Amino acid sequence: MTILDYAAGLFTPYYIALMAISTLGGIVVGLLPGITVTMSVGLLVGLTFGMPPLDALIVLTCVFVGGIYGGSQSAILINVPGSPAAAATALEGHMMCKTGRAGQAIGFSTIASGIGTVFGALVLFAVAPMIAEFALKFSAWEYFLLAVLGMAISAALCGRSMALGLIGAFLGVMIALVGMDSVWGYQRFTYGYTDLAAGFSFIPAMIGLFGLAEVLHALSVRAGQPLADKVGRVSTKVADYWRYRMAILRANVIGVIIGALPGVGADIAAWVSYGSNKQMSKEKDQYGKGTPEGVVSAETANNAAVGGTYIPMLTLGIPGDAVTAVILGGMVLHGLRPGPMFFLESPQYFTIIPTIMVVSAVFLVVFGLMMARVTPRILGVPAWVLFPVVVLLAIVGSFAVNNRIFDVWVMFAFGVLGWGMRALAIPTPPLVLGMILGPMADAEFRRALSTSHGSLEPLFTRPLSLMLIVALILTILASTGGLRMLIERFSRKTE
Amino acid sequence: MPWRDIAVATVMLVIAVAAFRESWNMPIFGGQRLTAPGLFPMITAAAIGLLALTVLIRRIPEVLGWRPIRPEAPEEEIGSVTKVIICTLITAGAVALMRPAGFIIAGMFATAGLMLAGLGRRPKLPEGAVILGAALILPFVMHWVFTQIFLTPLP
Repeated sequence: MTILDYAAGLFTPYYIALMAISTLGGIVVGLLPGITVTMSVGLLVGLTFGMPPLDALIVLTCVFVGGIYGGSQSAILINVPGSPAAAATALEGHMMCKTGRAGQAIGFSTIASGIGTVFGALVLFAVAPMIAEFALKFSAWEYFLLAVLGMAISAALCGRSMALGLIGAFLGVMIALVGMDSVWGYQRFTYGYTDLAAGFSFIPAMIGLFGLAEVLHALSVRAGQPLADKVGRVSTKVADYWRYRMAILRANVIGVIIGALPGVGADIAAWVSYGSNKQMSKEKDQYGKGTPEGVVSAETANNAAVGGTYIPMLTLGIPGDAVTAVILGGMVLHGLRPGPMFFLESPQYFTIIPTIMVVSAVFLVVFGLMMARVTPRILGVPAWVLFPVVVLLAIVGSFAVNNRIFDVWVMFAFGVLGWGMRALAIPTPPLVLGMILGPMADAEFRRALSTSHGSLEPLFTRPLSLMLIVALILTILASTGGLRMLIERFSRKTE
Repeated sequence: MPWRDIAVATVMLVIAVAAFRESWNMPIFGGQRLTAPGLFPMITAAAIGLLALTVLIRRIPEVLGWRPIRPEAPEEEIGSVTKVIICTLITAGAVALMRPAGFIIAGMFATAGLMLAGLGRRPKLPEGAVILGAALILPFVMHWVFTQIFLTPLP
């Protein structure tokens, strides 16, 4: 079968309807504050377990795309982003809403999200096969270093302190090491509990960390009310997008690159894009007063990041953010193994997934514009009515994975842990990455040491390993200010 | 806030020491030290311990006034901790009820409890009706949907 055959196979009434419904569901979920995309995808992984792998992948991907966009509508109308990725949108979008331009803001955010999703999908389609081929040259040392580098990047970019971020990451590794050792079958940290023999189930842990934790937080703070009962016309002119073309291009590139960094994701992409475009804009003085360029910068980047997050996930088995971490877990449940061999075993997905994203982008634009008038009513539903539904769904979703009450307790424990981490301002993405990459780092480290008979020499003599070590050192130096110090010292010496 | 970071680092240091000790005592199979199950947990625990010490070394001088506290970006509000504790206890109660009483009873308890806790005051008549209705109907509907459509064997 050719590439076109793989893509064409998706254009059946059943798959088109599935993509439409999933995208719409994602938009609704995304716009409700307190219901995160990660939690929704986590619940759906359990609920779509009985579906064929392709159907499940369509549902998860489309909910991801729709959910990242959906948060922008509540960001604009009530200044409470429905998803963290829409936090930057709230800055300019809500200001536009206050000045009677809510419809225009929603129009810009919708079209920009569609453009970003398509760009991210095209980059995924073009770049992923090349990275997958390159990844085949990696040995156990490189995989181990890649796991450590992924955690370091996530810790560096996701929080106020790299040390705390790394503590979170290594804590995630320790959590992942609970259970049966993959080499000798020894039970590590189980203390005789048979339920812990298989370790902590990943999906319930994610539902707790990003679902229950979010609900606990949202129930404790006062929610906003929609500023606009009515949303005016959502139409925008093509000339406006041409006017902001450089901002859109920059946002697309920033979104994909940041999305591709492990454990970072759409929210950081949106902020970096907003900040960069503000610096380079000819209308700098308009930022903060409700400029459409700000909305377009943030929304294009956060949706472009969706395609970016799939790149390391499919090619290296390292998720680009928390949502792709959950999707990775779902793909493994369905018998798919993202990673360097995935391109050889299942090349069709490198065409299918970008195609799903592009079709989902079209539905995102159609539904997003249609829903604008209904959104204030949806947002008017009080949190105390909605969240108990979410908690029940979290309980069912956690139970559904392995049909064990123990998994529901795992969800509960991770929910409390997630709320606690949020209260202490410790970022959770490094913890998630640690849980995903921990077993890989453990297995590859022991395999590498075994192959080299205990010698660490290949770490420094293999060019790829050396490159990754340099990248790791640069990451640590950059986030601790050491890099700036070194550059300043070097500049003083050369003067 | 330095005190908060010191508390977190201290707890993590204790966890790291305990995990390191546990990993040190894990057996070595076939004389293969390099593939021993305790090797990687030991390294990870050591890393956590060192990072916790780094945080303590940075923050303790700030608390003692030897070094100025570095300004940090404003953080989001935590909200009402009492409400969080109440909601946590209600959720725990619902999960505990699942095995002896089944999903429907547990769901009724969770729905009513979380709605009342979320509302945070005595409900008015229409609100009370919504809470009662939701607590009675929602768990039944969910149980039917997930057992009949998604084929999840809920208790």
